[in-house]
Amino acid sequence: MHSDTIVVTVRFFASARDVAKRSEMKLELPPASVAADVLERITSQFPAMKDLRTFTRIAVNESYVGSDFALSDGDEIAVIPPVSGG
Amino acid sequence: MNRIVSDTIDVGELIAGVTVPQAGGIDLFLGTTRDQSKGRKVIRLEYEAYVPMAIKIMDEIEVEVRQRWPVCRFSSVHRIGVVPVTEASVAIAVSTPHRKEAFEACRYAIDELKKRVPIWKKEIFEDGEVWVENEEARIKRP
Repeated sequence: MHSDTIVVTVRFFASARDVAKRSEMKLELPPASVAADVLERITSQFPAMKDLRTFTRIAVNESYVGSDFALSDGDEIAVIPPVSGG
Repeated sequence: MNRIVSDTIDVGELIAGVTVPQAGGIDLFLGTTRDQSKGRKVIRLEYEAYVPMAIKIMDEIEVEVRQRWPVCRFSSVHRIGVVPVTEASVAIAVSTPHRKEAFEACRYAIDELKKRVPIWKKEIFEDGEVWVENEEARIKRP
């Protein structure tokens, strides 16, 4: 791994997994990346993700975060469509 | 205690777990699976969870409940995998000294679970399937 990038694991659930056609992937990002950058990257890779974006939340290491949350090398990012437990 | 299970929820065990001498009331909520969704016949329901985060958020909800009401014991369980129609997909049991707090605490817990706990339900119809989205979970990102 280059020291000028960070690598995170992105996990997809429910409808997001159907769109990405995978349950997880590694993503290499510039060091100052934030949660919103992950959404940008996955939306450009999987254009159908656009339909999900409005209400999709991001969790980092099992906690919900805001769009400007700063990411670190090794983080686990979860793409969380609106939940439907209960 | 808060758990994710992949088979039948044992309601008796759940109630036993919140039964203590200082409690004057136990409120139990069971969410059960319906055979209809917006007029379509559901043949099967499947739940999936981001398990470690789901348990973490269920634990956070328990902390919030305990901050607001004088809870003796609190327990919640969500089932994942295939849940046949009429069976419980979620159960929450709360014991408190008096009944009013038990009702309020249990209601808060199920309302928050439906908003925040990363669990998803897929409804399977004869002619297709759909991921359900709880209305209260359609939260715009900040």
